[in-house]
Amino acid sequence: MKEEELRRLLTVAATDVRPFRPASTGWERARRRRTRRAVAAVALAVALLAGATALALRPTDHAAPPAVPPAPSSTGSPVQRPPAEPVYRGGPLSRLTDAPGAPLSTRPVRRALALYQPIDRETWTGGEIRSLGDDGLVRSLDVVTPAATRDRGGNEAPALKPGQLSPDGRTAVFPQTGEVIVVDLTSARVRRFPLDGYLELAVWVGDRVLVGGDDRTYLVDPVSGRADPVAGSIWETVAPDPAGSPATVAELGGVQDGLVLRDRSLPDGTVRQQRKISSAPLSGSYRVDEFYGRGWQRGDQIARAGWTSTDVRGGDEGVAVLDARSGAVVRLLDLGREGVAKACCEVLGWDSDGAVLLRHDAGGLVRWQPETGEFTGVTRNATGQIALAAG
Amino acid sequence: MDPGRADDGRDDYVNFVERHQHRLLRAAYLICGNRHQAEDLLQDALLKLALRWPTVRDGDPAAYVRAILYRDTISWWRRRRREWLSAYPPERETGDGDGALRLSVRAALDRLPPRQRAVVVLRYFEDLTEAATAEVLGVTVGTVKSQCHDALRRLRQVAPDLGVGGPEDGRSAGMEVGR
Repeated sequence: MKEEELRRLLTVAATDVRPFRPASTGWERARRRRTRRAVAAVALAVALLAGATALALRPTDHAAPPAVPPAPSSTGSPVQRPPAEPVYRGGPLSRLTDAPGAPLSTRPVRRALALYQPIDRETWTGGEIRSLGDDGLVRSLDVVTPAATRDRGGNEAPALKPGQLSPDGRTAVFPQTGEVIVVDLTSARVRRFPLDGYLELAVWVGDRVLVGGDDRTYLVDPVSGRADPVAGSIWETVAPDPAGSPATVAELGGVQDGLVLRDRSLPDGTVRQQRKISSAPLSGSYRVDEFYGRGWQRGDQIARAGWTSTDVRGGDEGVAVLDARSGAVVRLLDLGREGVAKACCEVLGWDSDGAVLLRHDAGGLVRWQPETGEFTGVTRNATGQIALAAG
Repeated sequence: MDPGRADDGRDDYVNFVERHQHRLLRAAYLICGNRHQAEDLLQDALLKLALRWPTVRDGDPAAYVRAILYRDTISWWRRRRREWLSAYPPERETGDGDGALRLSVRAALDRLPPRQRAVVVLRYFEDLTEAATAEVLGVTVGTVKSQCHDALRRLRQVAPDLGVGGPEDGRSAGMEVGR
């Protein structure tokens, strides 16, 4: 067969695929997004102006209320929807995308709140990794330059991914091909441990870290470098509660009616319990069909992003909160599908107030409080890769 | 004066999409293997194009949206490949004359890693040169050559009945020759 024959085969293979949305769909989606941003910008300007006026009239009031009014809270119902445009209240993580103020080598952190790697979303190339300390200063990670990870097929991914910063914010781990790099962020010391395989992902479990890729997972001691192979897929592993037992991790796997939640013992890898995931507590025929990104456990709750459906529509974006004991989906943040990108809203962890931190819109980092429905923005410019200490 | 330029660009954009979306959708489908996901990925790429239209319209919007689409498709496919492999059963033959062949080609493509698929689709469906393929994927020409070589070798292994050029016809590396 010649090249022409391969061309013919590919044409035949796709010949029955036809667009079913009007050509103007993308333009209308872009228009709605621009409108939302413009409205939000005006609202923010008005709020800031009002706040500034109040401060001018009461110059001695050092305990002035926040310039931005609280977002309207929805109820704590099982299925919740975000406001059209969240109010961005700022907070320590809002400095995540600030320019580095110092190199890590000269200004180690006491505790890092987050790691951040700018990404060119058109070329998917990663920039220099940064560390945001609890003092609000962003450091450049100048002591090591981790490479993009890759799998056996040569498919690359950015060096930084959620899960690589320890919950205490003191250590970063970078899985690489054939090694693991451990960075003590409090001293800027770097250790490199050879470890076989195309390693791409990390999940902290107590003071050790699961590191793995497509076909293997290790439990690694980041101090000694000792690595023990363990069963299970790191793609499905839920990042455990830092205050929980390091002897067991949860896994979320499967799709649609086959979604399951497993408890796996470490380091022996024994599956201790497995139950089907049920969306029955949700109202209106909502159900989770599939999860993506990392799941994060806090107490008896697990938060993870996924695709959802109802009896009349499918493929919507959502964030589910599950009861880790029963496997029931007890809360769902319904993010729809209009104006959001595919796999838009990966969960990045929990904060200390019991809110879920997730991506939202292009570059947005937001907090969602499942108990109250409160949905507020942290920063709107974080288009790069993020790893939070929030476990 | 071009009447399309008198508005905010919508007419030009819609004309562009009408001319290109069919082929781009088919390309996305060949890479990700699911028509609904391909449609979603194309819509995401076209949204990004609309947001950048004022700066892209006078350049090469097709190249712009193609780069977005391919890289997003590879990235998306990687994030969820395990789930995808079990989530979607093989599509059924539609009964027309090419149905069986269509299924065979799709099944063979399913066996390739996403970037190898992308290289094959760009080179032999979109008919791009090695240099243009490298530019779309953001990789070197050498990577395109090696990925194409590996992809064709893999296709020969998993789908010998399709007869994708093999060593016997002297073309095991022949398709690496750039244009």
